[in-house]
Amino acid sequence: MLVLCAVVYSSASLYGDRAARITHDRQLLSAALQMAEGINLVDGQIEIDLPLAAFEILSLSPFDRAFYSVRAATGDLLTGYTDLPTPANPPILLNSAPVQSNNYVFYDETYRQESVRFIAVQKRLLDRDYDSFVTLIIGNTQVASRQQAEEAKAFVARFVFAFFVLSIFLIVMGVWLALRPLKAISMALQRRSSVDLSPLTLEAPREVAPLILAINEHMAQLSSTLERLKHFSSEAAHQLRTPLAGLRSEAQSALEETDQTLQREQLENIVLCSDRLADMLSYMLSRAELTHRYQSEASVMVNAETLISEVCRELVPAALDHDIEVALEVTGEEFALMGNHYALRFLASNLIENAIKYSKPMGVVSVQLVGTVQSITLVVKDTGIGISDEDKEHVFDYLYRSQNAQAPGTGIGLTVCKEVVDFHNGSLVLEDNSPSGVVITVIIPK
Amino acid sequence: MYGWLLAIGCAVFTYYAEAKETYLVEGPYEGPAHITLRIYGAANFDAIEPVFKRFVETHRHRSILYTEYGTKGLYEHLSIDQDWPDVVMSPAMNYQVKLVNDGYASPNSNIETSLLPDWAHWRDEVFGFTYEPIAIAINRKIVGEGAKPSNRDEVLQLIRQAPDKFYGKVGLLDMKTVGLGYLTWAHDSEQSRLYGRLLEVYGASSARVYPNSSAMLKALSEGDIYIAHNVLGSYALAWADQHSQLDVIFPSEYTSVISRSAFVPKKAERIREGHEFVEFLLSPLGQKVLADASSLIPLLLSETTGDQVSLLRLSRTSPFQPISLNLPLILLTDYAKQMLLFKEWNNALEQ
Repeated sequence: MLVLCAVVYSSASLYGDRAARITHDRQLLSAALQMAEGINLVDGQIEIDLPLAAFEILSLSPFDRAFYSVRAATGDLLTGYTDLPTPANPPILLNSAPVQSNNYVFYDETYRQESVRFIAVQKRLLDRDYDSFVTLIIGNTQVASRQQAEEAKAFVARFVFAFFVLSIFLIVMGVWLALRPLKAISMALQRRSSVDLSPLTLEAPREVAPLILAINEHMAQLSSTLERLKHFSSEAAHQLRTPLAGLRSEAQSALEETDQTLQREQLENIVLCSDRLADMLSYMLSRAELTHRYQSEASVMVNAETLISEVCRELVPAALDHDIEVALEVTGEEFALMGNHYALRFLASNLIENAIKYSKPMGVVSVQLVGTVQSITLVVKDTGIGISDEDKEHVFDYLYRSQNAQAPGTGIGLTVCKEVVDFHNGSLVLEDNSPSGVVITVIIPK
Repeated sequence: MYGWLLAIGCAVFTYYAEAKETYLVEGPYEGPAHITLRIYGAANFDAIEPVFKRFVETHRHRSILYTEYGTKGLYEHLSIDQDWPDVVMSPAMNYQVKLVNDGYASPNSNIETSLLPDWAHWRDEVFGFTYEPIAIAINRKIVGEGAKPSNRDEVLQLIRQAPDKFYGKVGLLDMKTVGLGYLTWAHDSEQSRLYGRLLEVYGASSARVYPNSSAMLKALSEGDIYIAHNVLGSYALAWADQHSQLDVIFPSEYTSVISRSAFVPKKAERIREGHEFVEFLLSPLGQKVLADASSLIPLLLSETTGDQVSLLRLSRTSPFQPISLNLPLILLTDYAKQMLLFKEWNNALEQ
């Protein structure tokens, strides 16, 4: 902005100088034209009768001095000042017209310690037996002309200054006005208690409305996260209390039992319970981690085929240890989907691991992956004991565990799987396999 | 009172072999800081002396050494010999303007120029301090009982009616040697439609030329001439006071007014004191001295005393047209212009 002002000012002062110079030159030229009128041939003699009007033109600016001289073609001084400087490029005489645009020149010189603007004019004097010319030089000091330029500059400078001050004022006002809603938001946030996550209800101009919206959305997320966390911890506390109570009563009975065999049985129960408790804790932690990750990480492109292959490769050795076969069948072409890699991997891994866990030795776990342009379908079949109809209703409940479960595990697995599928807007269906076992079909749209 | 007035000594001695005279006006206070101001002027010492006296009375440690020149001689002495005093005073406005235009004057910013008429100063450098109409003085006897002529036309008619009576009886300032004569004559040539007829009639009556207003007025009072053309009004009024047969005419179509002006040369030895003197000339006190004690007429109306000139000045039909102390006057120092006017003059008067 300063630069802009400087540019405006300097160009205006150039213009002022130029305008003053043009005015001054016109004045000089008209004085020269008048003086040239007074130089004539009379009876073969040059007669010079300079008109008063020419000097009156030169005295229009009351502080300026003027100098003049008339010289014959020979260079002899006819009248006027003897020592006026001559132009570097003398005017060219073209014809006998009194004064034309191409037979005068302007030039600047320092004369008598002052900067003087000069005009040199040639006038042709033509008679029957006489053809010569005279050179007229007029100089005028430039007090008024400089003053005029200064006045123009001063005027522009005042204008530029006013413009500058006004702009600064407007900018400051603008910034203050624009930032005022932000300040209000920051005040409103500062005033809140640390647990208040309700949406902001400020009146805001259109420009900052998206910000408030974003803040409110973020707060809603925080709020739901907090809500889930509360739910999780109370649920976990509740669920942990039951096995702990069981553990305590078993340990109490074992203390009072006199029968060696019974006491041993009770102690084994205690170990089993402890293992389940440990498993449950680890599931709860991994679920918490999973939830955290798929809520905090952005979705990425995941290749379902690669993911399934990796998961199967990892699980096959453990399956073979229990004489269980894992068969992978992949059909279709489009396996890419947007989603959370960690969560999808957990989903696949959990489903296949469960199938292996509930299979009998010599059983087969069949994994089918179908990739189409619309969706990815994963079908996991096992030939295990299956799930009773009563259990099917509860299998997605939090921490539900079938009463007849034999293999170690927690109820968390399927619940979390269902959550992952929901997060990806997919569907999870649980069906019976024949003759026994379970078929789980997951469809995730793209 | 008398004691120190007497102390203002007056020494008169010849300075050069020419008609220049030098006068010393000594101040009453002697002291180590006593300064003698050198002033060159064209005013009669008698006319300007009261101003000098009052200046040295009111300014401590000042004396004035005044050298009197003719107007043209003064100009030539300054511009050719480059001998610069502390103050230059002259009624030849064209020469004063020329010297200022040539860059010889030093500016004075103390003087409040807005209080002066525009025509009476130029460039803060040269300042008019008197107001002197140019008059025609006549011998009343030649008119007889008839009405006194009131303008140039009537003067010319008077001569034409009795050419024999006026032959050799018209007086003019010698424009070729007298600066004031040239200024007034050249100004008439620019201003008056009667200029050609004046030249013709004065030529035909074989006008005589005089070196200054005083000499011409003396000739008029002694009967050598009947008409004195273009004399300083202030001198003419002073003579008319003493010679009842003299009438002073301020031509009614226009009466040129000249102003004695003063400037301080750039090369003056005592520039500050020079300006001090010029400021005194324009001060109410200086102007009052001009009005009361000298035959000169002050520039500022406020200090005049209701005399004939100031009454005419105030009149709505005042014929007074001051010559402007301004750049165009350098035309009246133009060599070619002078040659033209001299040629016309010669053709008319010296055939």
